[in-house]
Amino acid sequence: MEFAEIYDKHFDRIYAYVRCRVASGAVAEDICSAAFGKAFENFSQYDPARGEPVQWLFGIARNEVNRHLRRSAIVSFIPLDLFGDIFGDRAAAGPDAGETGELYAALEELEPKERDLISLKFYSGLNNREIAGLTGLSESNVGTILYRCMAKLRKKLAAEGL
Amino acid sequence: MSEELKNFAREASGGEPAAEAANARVLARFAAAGAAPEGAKARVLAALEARRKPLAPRLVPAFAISAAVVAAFLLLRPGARPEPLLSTDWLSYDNFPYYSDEARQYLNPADPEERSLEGLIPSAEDGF
Repeated sequence: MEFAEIYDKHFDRIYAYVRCRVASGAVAEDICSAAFGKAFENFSQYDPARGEPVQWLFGIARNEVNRHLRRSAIVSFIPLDLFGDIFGDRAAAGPDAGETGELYAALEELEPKERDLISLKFYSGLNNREIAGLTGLSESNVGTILYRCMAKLRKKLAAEGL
Repeated sequence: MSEELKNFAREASGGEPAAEAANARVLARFAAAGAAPEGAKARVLAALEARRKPLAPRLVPAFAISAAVVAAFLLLRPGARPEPLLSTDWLSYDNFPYYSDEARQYLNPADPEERSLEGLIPSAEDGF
């Protein structure tokens, strides 16, 4: 399988996953670029016997997102939430206004680990066992966290009239 | 919606049909929001292409200037060329330490005024 084919097939899912985990679309594009860049550089090392390309790609994208979040946590000394009145509600502003903004706002209420797992579940197409393999958690733990996340999201979005 | 997600919506509902329907709505909404914005794919591809170039053309002058500075430093730094062991001025007293005092006086004759006790140079007259 050619790399271009993999890129065409999986870009949207990778982007959606990354977008669910970071604050802006521009950052998501940068992370996607870094992730696909790494995937391209290491494409010769990809072993189909060890799993589907989607699993491999999501592993790389997940690492890139985690690296970005670690770096952001170090760099951001002043939380922008302090300036909420000035910048307005981040979820309701910009291109993510409306329903998409509500979704991201609902995701922001989840713990980082929960957000990671639910985004993987929604967009990677992987089952709980594969997600457990990717994240290093046990399969039952993944199932429990996802169940809890879904209840939270359902409650949150129901309150907003879904 | 994939079969995997349909199963997930069912399992996460706890057996309640209303919760299952709500889960399905949540999943459908996330699926609808999952499409990348227009142009994102092309922008990321362009960024990937840029990363593949081994050396950005705008960096070439900077590299050339840096290389020139390093080369100039290496060629012109003090001690870059080994000094000859013997100076071409073979009379130089530095090359003949044994005769250094005599040679120094020969090459740099002292002022007669310095040939005094104050100058700590032995007088030619009395040897002190």
